Amino acid sequence: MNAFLNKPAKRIITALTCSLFMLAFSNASATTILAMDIDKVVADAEFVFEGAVINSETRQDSNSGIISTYVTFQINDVIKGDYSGESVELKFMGGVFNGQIVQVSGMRIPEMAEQGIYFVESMSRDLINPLIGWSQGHFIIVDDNGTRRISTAGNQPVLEVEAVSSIPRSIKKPLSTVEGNTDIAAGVMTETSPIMIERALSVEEFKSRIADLLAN
Amino acid sequence: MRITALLLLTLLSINSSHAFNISDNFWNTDQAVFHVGISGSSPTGGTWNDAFKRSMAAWSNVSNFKFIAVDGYLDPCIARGAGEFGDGSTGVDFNATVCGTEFGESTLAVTLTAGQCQNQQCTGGFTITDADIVFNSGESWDVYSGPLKSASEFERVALHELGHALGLNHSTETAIMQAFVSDSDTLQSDDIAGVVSIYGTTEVAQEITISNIYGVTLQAPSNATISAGSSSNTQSGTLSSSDNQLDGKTLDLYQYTFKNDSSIDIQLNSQVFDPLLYLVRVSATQAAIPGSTFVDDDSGSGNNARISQPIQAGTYWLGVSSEDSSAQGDYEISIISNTSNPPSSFETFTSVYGVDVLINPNPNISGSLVSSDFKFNDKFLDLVQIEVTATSTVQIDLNSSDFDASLLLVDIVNDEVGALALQDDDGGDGSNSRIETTLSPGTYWLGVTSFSANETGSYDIAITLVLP
Repeated sequence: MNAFLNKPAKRIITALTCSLFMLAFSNASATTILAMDIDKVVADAEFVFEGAVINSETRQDSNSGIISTYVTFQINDVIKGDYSGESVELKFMGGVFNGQIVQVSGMRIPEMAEQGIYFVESMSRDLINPLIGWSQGHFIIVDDNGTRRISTAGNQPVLEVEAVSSIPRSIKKPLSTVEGNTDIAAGVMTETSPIMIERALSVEEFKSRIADLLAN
Repeated sequence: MRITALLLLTLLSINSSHAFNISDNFWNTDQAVFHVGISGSSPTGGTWNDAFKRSMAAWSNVSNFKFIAVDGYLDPCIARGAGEFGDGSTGVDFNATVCGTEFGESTLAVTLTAGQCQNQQCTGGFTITDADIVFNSGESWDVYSGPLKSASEFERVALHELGHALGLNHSTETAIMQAFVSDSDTLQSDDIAGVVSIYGTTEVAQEITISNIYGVTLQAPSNATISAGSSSNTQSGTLSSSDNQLDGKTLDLYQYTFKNDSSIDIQLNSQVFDPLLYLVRVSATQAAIPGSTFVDDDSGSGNNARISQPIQAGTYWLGVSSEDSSAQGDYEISIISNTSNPPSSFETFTSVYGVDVLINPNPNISGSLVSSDFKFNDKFLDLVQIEVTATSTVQIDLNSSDFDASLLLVDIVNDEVGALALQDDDGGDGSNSRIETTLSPGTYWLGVTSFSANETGSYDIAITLVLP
C-alpha cells in the first residue's frame, strides 16, 4: 500500500477536486506582461474596489470585428478612487459571440458571480485589460467556511501583502518579465495550493494591507 | 527469460519526460501564413523582420506545422469586418495600440487568436483560423542572446507568442513556453515535444500499440477476461513460419486479464513440437512487472509445458514458443483458474468522503460510473491509480457508449496531486476521450467522468505506448 494512504484523505481529495475544477474552467495561455510590485499596482491603479460580477455580455465592434466582453460589477466597497456609482462596467478584449471567438492570450475575464478585489488601471482609457498588470491587479474572494478570504486570480491563497518597491528587483524577482494569467505582483506572498485557503488573509485584512500601502 | 529482457530494454529506451501543456485550440491545417513587414531594426542591429522570421522558422523546423513567411505588411487588425472572424492570414506589428485599444502600462505583446467554436458557449476548444501578434511600440525592445537585460528581448517573446499561436500553453519546466520569460532564448526540448504532440514531426510518427511494439502480434481472445470464480477455457493455435520471430524462434502471444487473484493451471500441449510456455504480467505501460514472469518447458505430460501456481490479479501475456527454432504445428492451451478467495487484489482505498481510488496496473481497465460514485460539479468520478516504472509516451483512451466521456490525468507527487493536470473530452473517436503524453516514472491518477452532469454507464480504458 502506498504511503499516501496514511495521509489525511480529505486533503488529497480536496486537492484533486480543486485540480479538476481548475481543469474544467481554466483557459491557460499568456500574453507578455511586465512584472509589477504590489505597491506600484496599488499606487498606479486609478480605482480599487471590492465587488461582484452581476452581468457579463459580449459585443462585437462593427468596424474592427473585435469581440469584447463587458463585465458589470456591483460595487460593495471603494478602496481607492472617487467613483460613486453602485455598479461599474469594465470592458475586456476577447470573448465568444455567436459561436465565434476572439481570444487574447492570457486574458482572465471575471466570471459571473465572481467576487473579488479589482485594481482598475483607468476608468477613462480603453484598455485591453482594464485591470492593472492583468492578473496582478485581480484578486478573488473565496468563501472558507463562512470566512471570506483572498486568492490570486490563479487560485493561490494570499498570505501577506508587503511593500517591496525599495527592494532591488534582482532580489525580489530575478526575472524581469512575467507572463500574465496566473502571475502575481512582487510583494504578494501566496500558498501554492488552493487547499490552503484557511491560511489566506481575510478580505478585511487584505483591504487593511492595501490601505497601509496607500497611506505610505 | 529472453522476452522479459526484451520488454524491459524496449521500454527503457523510450525518451525522457516532458512537461509541455497543450490547449484545446489548434489549427486544422498544417500551415499558417504570416505577413511579416515590420519596419526598422533593433538597436543592436538586424531587422525585426529577420528576428521574427527566425522565430517562425524555429517552430517550423521541428514539426509538421509550418509558418509561411510572406514579405509585406498586413495590419493584424484588418479583415475582421463585422460578422467575420479571422482573415486566414496572420499579421505582426509594432503598434501603440491593439486594434485601437491601449496596451496599458505593463503589457509588452499580445497574441490575438480567432476561430470557430464547436458550440455557442465555445466549450471544448476551437479551431484557430487566425492569429495575430502585436508588440507594444511604447516599450524598449532589442534582439540579443543570453540573460535578460533591461530592454525586452524581441525574439524570445516572438517565439513564446508563436507557441501560443500554435496552441501551446505554459510548460512546467525550463522552456520557451514556461510561464516566465527567462534566459532561455531558443526552443527547448520540451517546447519541441509539445508542438510535435499536436502536429507531429516531419518524420512519420510510428504509432505503436501493444500488438506491435515488440515486433510480435498480440492476440486478445474473446474469452480473455477471466473473472472471479472457477473458470476453464481453451485456445488453439498453430506455430508457423509466418509467425513472429523472437530470438530466432516463432512466437504466438495472447493477452489475458485475471480480475482476481487466482490459482491458475495453464497447460500448453502439442503433438508436433516441444512447446515452451511464457506467462508475463505487464503493467499499465506494458512493462513486465518484476517477480511476475514465469516460464516452463517440460512440466506437463511428456514434453508439454505447464505453469501451475497462484498469481496476482492483472493482465498477462501468455507466450507460446519452443526451444526448437524450427518448431511449427498445432497447439492447444488450457487455462483453469480458481479464485477461491476473492475479493480482487486490485487494491481500492476508500475515504470517508466517498471517493475510491482503484489501484490497477493494467493497460486495459473496465469500469462503470454509477450514482454512488464520488461526485464533483454534479459529475460522477472514478479514479484509477497507475504506476509508471519507466519514462513512457502513452496514449490513454477512455471509451464509453453510455456517456460522453471526459478523461483526466494528474500526477501524485509527495502524496499530493502534483503539477500535471491534463483533461480531454472528445480527443478520441466520437465523443470518447484521449490523452497522449509522456509520463515520467511515478504515480498517476486517471479520472473518469462525463462531459455532462449526472451521466452513468460503463467504460473502458486502454493504455497504449507511442514511440517517439
